[in-house]
Amino acid sequence: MDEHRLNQLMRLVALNLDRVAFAELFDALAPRVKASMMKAGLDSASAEDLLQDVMISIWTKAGLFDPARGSIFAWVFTIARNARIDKARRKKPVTSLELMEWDPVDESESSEQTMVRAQDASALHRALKTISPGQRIIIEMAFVQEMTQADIAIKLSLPLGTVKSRMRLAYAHLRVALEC
Amino acid sequence: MTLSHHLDDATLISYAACTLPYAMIVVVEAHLELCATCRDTAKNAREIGGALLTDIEPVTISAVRREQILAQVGSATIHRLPMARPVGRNEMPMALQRALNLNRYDDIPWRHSGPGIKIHKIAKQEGESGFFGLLKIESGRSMPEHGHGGMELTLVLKGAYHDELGHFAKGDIADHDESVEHTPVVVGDEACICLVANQAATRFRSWPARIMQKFIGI
Repeated sequence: MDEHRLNQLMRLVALNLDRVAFAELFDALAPRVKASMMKAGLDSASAEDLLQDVMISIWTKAGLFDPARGSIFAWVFTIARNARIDKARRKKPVTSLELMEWDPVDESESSEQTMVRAQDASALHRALKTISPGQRIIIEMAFVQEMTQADIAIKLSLPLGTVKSRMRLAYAHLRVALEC
Repeated sequence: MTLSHHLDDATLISYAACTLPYAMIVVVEAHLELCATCRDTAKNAREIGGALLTDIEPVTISAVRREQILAQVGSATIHRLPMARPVGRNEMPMALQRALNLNRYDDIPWRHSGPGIKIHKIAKQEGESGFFGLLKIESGRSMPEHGHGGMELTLVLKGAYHDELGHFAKGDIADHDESVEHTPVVVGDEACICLVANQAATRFRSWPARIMQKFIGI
């Protein structure tokens, strides 16, 4: 997926309520968002119900998205996860999206900056392929299967301390790709 | 603010993956408001979630559903960019203000729970166990030595304390697991206010402490 193009589409949605741009965003993002929900255990119909909430959120919050604060993929990932939590719990959780609003940044990101981050993104993808299988499985269980540290420990028959230390090691490896 | 005690990277991974219980999320977010280092880690961790999302093999969306969603967005309102956030204007982190529906420590309906100790429990979400709330401990007082049943986060909001792990001042967070046993003593002139969330009952070691636990309830 072309991050730069997706950022352009987000701007068109935010500024012009551009429904054609949104349809293109939909076709790029929705099939993966739905797939991620099915990986987390939902059937196809429930995943599409939730997808509806996520895609509507992406439309209504498009004006809050700022590519200088994080990639569109990280933003969509967080919206999708929050939508699921919203549905599962009666009380509204603290919305962790606000995290992205804390650090002041430049008003707009130049295409050069986006290119630099696109390189970061591919570095991150490469790094994800080179972490040890034992670390990779734990990272996937946390981010894709939505498992808590305790659940991962039980599932893999590992002490909780080992799950934590593998998470730390995986992060130490991946942050090199994120900060280069 | 330069802080000495941060969140464990593993906790921030779980936070970014949205698998922490509500009480822990509030404590993590209150610390993130005060700590640029942990904010960076949380952002990086979220990028890992984003990268894994793009790695997933896409699945087909039914044509009917696609049309439905695309038709629905036309009528949905778009939020505009918010004004700059008043960072650090208030003494209380925003995540805590939202959880309490209050913005001043003086307005908290503290309850006495032992000599020099006051507590205020905060509503948890259904099905979540453990203690979630604020502790206010007078200068010179100590908490009984205790180990932990599971994960415990303690964020210093006012004042400072000292224990086997070091000196904890405003913004510092203790991110412990079950192996840690410690005896915090409040240092300095003012009372120490901490936001605490833990997963399982804290186990005090001595029997008087265990009796006290019934009163303090952490």
